[in-house]
Amino acid sequence: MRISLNWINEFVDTTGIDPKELAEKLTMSGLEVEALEIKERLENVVVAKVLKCEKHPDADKLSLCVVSTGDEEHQVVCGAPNVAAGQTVVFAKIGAELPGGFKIKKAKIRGTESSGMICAEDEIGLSDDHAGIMILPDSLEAGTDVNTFLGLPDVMMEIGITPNRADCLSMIGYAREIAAIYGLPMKSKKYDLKETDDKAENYSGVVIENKTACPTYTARVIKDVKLAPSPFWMQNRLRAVGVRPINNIVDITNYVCFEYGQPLHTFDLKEIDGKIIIRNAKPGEKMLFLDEKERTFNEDMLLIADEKKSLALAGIMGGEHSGINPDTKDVLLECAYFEPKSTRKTARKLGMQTDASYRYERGIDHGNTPDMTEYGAYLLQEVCGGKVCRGVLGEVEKPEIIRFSVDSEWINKYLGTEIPQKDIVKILSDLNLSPEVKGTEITVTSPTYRVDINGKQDVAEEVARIYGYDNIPTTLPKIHADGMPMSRELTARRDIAQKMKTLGFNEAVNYSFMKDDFLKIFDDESKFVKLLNPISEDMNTLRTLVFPGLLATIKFNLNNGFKQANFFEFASTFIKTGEKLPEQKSYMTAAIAGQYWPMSWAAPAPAEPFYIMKGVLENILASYKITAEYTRSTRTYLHPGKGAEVMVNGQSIGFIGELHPAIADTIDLRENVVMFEISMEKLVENARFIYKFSDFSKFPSIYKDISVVVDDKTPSVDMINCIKETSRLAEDAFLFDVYAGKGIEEGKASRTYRVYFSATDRTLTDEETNSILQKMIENLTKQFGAQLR
Amino acid sequence: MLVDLNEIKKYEEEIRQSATSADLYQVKVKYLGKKGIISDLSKQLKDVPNENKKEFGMMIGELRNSFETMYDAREKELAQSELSAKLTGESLDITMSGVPFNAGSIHPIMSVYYEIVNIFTSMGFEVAVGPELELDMFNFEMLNIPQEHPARDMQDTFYVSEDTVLRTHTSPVQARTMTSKNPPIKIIAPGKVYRCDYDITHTPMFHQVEGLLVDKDITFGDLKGTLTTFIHRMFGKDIPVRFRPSFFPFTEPSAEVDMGCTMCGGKGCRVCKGTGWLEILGCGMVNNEVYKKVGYDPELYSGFAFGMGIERITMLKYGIGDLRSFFENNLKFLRQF
Repeated sequence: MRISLNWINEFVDTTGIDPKELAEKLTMSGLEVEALEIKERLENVVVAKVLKCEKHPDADKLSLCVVSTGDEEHQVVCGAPNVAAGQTVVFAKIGAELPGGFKIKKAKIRGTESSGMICAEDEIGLSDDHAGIMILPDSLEAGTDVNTFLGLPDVMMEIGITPNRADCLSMIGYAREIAAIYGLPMKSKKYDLKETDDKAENYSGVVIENKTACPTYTARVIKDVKLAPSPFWMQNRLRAVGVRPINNIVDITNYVCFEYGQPLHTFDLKEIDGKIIIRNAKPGEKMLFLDEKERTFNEDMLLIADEKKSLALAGIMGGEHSGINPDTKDVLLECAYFEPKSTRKTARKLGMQTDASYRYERGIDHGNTPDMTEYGAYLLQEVCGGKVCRGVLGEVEKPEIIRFSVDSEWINKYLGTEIPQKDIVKILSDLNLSPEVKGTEITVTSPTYRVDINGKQDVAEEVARIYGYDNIPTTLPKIHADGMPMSRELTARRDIAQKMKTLGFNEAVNYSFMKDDFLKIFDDESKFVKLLNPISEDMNTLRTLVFPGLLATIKFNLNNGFKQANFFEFASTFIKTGEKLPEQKSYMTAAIAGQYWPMSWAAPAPAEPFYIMKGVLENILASYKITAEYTRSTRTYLHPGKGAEVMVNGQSIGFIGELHPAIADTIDLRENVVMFEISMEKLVENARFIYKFSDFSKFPSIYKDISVVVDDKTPSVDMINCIKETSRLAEDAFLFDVYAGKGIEEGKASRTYRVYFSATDRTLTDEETNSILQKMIENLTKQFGAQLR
Repeated sequence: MLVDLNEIKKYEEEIRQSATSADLYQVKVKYLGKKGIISDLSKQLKDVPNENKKEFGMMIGELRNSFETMYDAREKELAQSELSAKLTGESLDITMSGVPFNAGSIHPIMSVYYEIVNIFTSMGFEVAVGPELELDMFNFEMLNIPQEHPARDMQDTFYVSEDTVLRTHTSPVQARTMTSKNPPIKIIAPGKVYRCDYDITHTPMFHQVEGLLVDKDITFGDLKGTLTTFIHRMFGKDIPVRFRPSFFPFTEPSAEVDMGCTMCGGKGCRVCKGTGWLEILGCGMVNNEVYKKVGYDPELYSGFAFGMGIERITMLKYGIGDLRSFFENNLKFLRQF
């Protein structure tokens, strides 16, 4: 919302207030000034008459003019295509400094002396228009100072307005705020309407069919209006607040709208058949609007119609057919109150936002609506020479008076302040809340323009913002010391992230949505939750799996020159279940692209990335005391030979595996990717956070190695279990070497297991362990056909 | 029996002169070996007349002792210099790179997420989380943002059905908490939120931390104190903080909180648009309408709520200029954290 101090000065005198200070005070009272624009007086810029205008002797596109500023004549070269003798123009004399710092000096243009400049609108900072010089009405005398009719100097502010402050969508609203902040008196405006004997009811009438949506609708008939550009003062003000002047009738409706926040609408009287009827639309009813678009209505939408057709969409926009046009002579002026919710619903449904709908949606000053009919008619009478017919058509409903009490002690308790009651009363009085005091109880009455003040919290807010938030003492609350620590899932998430960082992985954060076509490569479309209004088709579906996002991240980085990448991410998945809220579960996913170790002379020997990832996963699971079993996975996005379900207590908590090479190819990934994705919920569910220490042998462990040749498909974990089950003295066993190739039969592998032995009561002897080892070998041979190497 | 002591004492010179442990050992053999010079003296003891035996014996003892003392010292000296010569030979190129462990990293948003969480938990707040896909009821209705309220324009919402939305703030967690338990409530709700907006200063997904404190006798002053403390702990205790009236449907009075620009120190720069202030969070006293919806007695309880964008705080903390770099996941970016 743009405001102009010149305009506001109509209601409150701001002379002597520093604009910067005013901006600061408005901001600190809740009307955030986002930009401040100070337009200075134009010095040495005056009205001039073009006496002579000839072609420049040496340039086709330039004119050589002589202008008069009353007491002097000036020869000037002008490049504007529209300059002509006899015009009244804006003339910058030598010594003038125009907005933007352009100084007018004596100059030679194509060999001809030029002393001054005939100005276009943009050159004097009036608008962006540079199509030609600005032509003024001939009634202006040469030599007149331009500042008065250009509305200079002026201060404009851009205000970031919050949705509650409907009252500040008008100049009078800001005037009231400034009056309250500075304790200044408001000026009242008087206007004199001269009604003719011709009765308005002879031309039309008003029937309100839906009084809930339109409690007040008033109209006046004004005859013989003369369509013309509006006077300069009106144009200047509209321009100052960012409204483009169009013609006097349209400008008047805009003027009242910006001055008082009351939208007005004018119809061409001859286009109205009989009475104005305010009614709901019939389903499928259509209309062509002023913006030349046709829209179709539903029955919840409120229309302004006549006895034969629809004329306007209530509170939003008028129809093309009944609008003001060059042939308009008589008008019907509408001034109404439309209910905010239904206006908003309609505007949203049709995707329309206008200056009128913007105000109706937030709530206009219903109490002022009847007066605005008069003010609008008065302006049509004064500015357009219209004749106002006798009588106001329509119905007026008085808005409900909001009156309630608030305790001044409660206000202080709520804010944490000790503001004396008399100061509170003064603030409320300055805000026109008509405080009536009885002890500590203050009864207030909301002015009809303050639709946001309905209860005691609203009053506390008004007191706080005028008293100044900065003046409220800063204290710390007393908080009960029974707080709960962060949940195990969130704690685990934080701790695992630290671990993954140490293990050399980079945390990624991807959008929760992706393209459905991409997600379809990995998952079944029936699970997809789709956005009704995605930003783009690339982001139309919520993730059902987390890793596809990481694959995109990996691809992006490989394309950016990285040869390998290690990522992890924590995110929620969204799976359609038929319930209102889809299933949302948190997952951790990690992936390696290429080799785990970056290229380096010092890199350890490359290992199968599957086993690196398995090591990472086991490391994480171990810190939560989880032992997983790995069974072959049938997930179609995994390499059929390099994928496993991570099984804990008989259920899968996720998977680990290499991305199926065919998919890698489809999505154009240049490196192999091995990844895992596990459910955080299941991880925490299966984690052991409470456990007891187990005693260990004080005697040194001893180890022995077993080397056997077995079929290379034999699962290693089964052999380890077999070894361990042979004797309870075998405390641990692990595979420490695998060999296949020369000297080993095709399809077989040599495996070496190291077995640790210990007893709690003695140091074991060689004989004891050797005999156990023997048994182990026998068992391995029995179960797996192992041969001793 | 004549003994040329000077001749024997030559061992001193020989010990000094031996350059290696092996040479030194040869000296030992020469004097103390089976046929060594000093050993020979012992053999001659039997031929010494009785009256001189004692004296002679003592002399041999002294010789042995002084030989060994000197020998041991020299032996240590040589061992040390030999070791250091050996170690010098083993020296590595200490400028060569080590085993190339990847430089892992935590996403900056997540580091700041936990930093904010830590500050508030240290002040006594609990961490609460909730679903990202949320019912309209919890995201809007319970928070005093009914259908057709202009405040809905403040948040462009992603819908998946008529009454299911991607949460536009983490406030629904507060609504859920209040529906499920009675005051005192002291929670912060961090997490992902979504708005249908994508340009240089908006991403369709971002992160927020919101807080809620409801108890008896909570004041607007307490709100100011809590958030001022937060900003001072996050950005330093000398940062100026100001509270400015604003509007949120679920709070009244509401405020925007500005802190002194961390880039220019309040002088005015491009980041703070010349104002010297940076908007950092929104807050207010909880609106009675919200209490009514969750069944709290507004006469008994009061409280405050606040919310902030984690991205914005992260950008200010690390001087990151482009919001979109958070979700690009470029390793060149991520590895800096």
